[in-house]
Amino acid sequence: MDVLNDLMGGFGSAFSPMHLLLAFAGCTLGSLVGVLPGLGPATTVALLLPLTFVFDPTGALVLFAGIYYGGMYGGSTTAILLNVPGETASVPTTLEGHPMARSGRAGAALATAAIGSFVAGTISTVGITFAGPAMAQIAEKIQPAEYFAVMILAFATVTAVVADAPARGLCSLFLGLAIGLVGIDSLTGQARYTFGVPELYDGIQIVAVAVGLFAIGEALYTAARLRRAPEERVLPVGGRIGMSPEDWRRSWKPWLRGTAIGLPIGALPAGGAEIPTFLSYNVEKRLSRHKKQFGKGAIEGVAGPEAANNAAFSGVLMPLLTLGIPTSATAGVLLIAFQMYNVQPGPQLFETQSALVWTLIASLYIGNVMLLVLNLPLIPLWVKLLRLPRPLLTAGILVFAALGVYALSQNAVDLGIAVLFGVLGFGMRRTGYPVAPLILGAVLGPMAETQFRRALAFSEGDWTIFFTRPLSAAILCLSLIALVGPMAARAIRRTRGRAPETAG
Amino acid sequence: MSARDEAVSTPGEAVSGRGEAVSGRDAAVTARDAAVTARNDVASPAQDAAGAPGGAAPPEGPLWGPRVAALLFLAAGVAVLGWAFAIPEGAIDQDVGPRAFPLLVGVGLCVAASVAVVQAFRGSDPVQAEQAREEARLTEWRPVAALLALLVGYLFALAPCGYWQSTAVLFALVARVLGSRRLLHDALIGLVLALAVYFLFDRLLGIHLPPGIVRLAF
Repeated sequence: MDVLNDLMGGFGSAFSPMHLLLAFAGCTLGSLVGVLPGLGPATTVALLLPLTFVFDPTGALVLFAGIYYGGMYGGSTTAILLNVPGETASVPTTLEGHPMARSGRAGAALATAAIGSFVAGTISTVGITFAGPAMAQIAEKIQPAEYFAVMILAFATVTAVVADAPARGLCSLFLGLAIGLVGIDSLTGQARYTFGVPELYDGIQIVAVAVGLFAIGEALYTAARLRRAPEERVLPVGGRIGMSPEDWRRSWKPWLRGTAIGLPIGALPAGGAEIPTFLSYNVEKRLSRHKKQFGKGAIEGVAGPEAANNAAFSGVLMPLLTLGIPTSATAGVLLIAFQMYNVQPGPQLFETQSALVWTLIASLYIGNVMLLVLNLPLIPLWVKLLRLPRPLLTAGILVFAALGVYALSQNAVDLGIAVLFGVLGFGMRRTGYPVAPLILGAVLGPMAETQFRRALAFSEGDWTIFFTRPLSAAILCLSLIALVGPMAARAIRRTRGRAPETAG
Repeated sequence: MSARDEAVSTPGEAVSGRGEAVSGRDAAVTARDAAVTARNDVASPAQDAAGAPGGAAPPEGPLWGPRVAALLFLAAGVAVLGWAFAIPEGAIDQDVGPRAFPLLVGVGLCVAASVAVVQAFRGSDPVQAEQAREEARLTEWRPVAALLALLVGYLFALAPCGYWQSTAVLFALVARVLGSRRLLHDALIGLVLALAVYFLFDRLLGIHLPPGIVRLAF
């Protein structure tokens, strides 16, 4: 079989001492930074992005696979012990994991999260291995109009899922798209939004945007709330980290169900991890024989969503690798990493960069095993890290954020841009504007424009092309549903009163 | 302020000194934070629970934040749209030139921001209003301004003063702004961190960082 041969080749490369070391470093750094409160996977990846500058593309992406997975593992630790979800998809874990930790069962909660993530991650990686090349072949056949429509779908779902209200999500998205416009138009060489500033001709450094929005914004947010917000308390990990036979019995089915929910949704070009984790949480709640425990620390409520979260996150790699379309903020930052090495994910990636892709996939398997082996014994160490004084922690984050941005082009202009975006991120966070659509817009905008113009060139300027091609029209309809659906659901719920909310 | 200092310098004592009552509210607030970001029915009971202690502020006051934000988005939209017209359209008649997409983006931003402006001024989004109230209650502006000033200062100090010198100072001052009171201790940590980063990146990995006035011999 072709796929198995390729995979073996990938493992051959991934098992080289250098790549093993990089995978190990990535997993450790990823979990280390991911554990820190307030730093979700997207921030973790953005913050560590510049550290890979010195490696060759394959090495850097192996490092990144580790950071990506490590950041997610680290997030569950913070969710359980601190009750702080690093991102929306970790919210279900806080709902059950934190109560478990309160009643002295932190060890079991951390273990079920880690083992569940391993199970989900491994099954999903198998999925990517076999479905990825097939999806790339399908993707090769789609035309610019469909490509553009798929991007709109990705925009619509990310905007709808993350925002409280679509208007604010769309504001964020369009601002991101506008940022993506800055620079020289790739088709005509026309300078746009550069105001004669030579530094802007190459466009705004997206790494500076990401680090500013996430890391510097977070630091400003911490500063604003430092004295008045109640201090977060780290719960001790009482007893052994591990699971009783009873825990295993109650966990294995949620792991598998979580994976089954997370992988396909994550793998859709409109995926993301938020929907599957909440879906898994509700499924487990409905199926559980211990319904009364929910909200007070039901292990199923940690096992299922954590598995779904990880499966979705791995699934997100499918549209990213085969279409070049990120469907979450974290995937958006990953795409930046690819682009920094002049690797453009897309249908041709499996052919043109075969060795790189398969090494990356092989290192996903390795990273998963490493994290399981690493994380269970290292949890006490992470807990110590959580107790670092917040001022020092924030100062350290700022130092590394500044370093990373400065190292980009080794001048202070990008650092200034990052500070500006830090202010923007702080303001958006305070006023309820999500930042994920902004990042996606800025990353995907230039690609969306290219496909848009190609589609119109193909139709000789006929704008109806997006609606007359059946596949494109169908995808655009889905986007509309994704955007308007939640709003309609809320309106219906409002007219029916609040009863279903409290009953659920 | 002094209670906070204690909490920083002796975390163990502060934790044991706080009772279950505090951590209960703690949980309610963080859960509500989660609810705001999650926009999900799962967490809405927690939201109701946390609404009471934060209700001291008048409902009208804190909405200025979202209002200003929405207006700024609208201004950005108008600017994007205005500058889009300044882009010369390509010569080839049938192809879409470099102006079309910026126009779309500008119109999109204007429309979305207009809706946001209306919502913010009518206060029709209870989640946003609740969040704004909570943020207004918890926000202190002085440390934010101080942190920003530090970052801008760092920006300009970096090249003339050198990487490790300015970074050590940045670290110590940021820690101080954020409430740490052991300046010497923090400065020492900052210096070690900055030197470690400098050697790792500048000397080992070859990413050039400004050496500054005091050049290190090795």
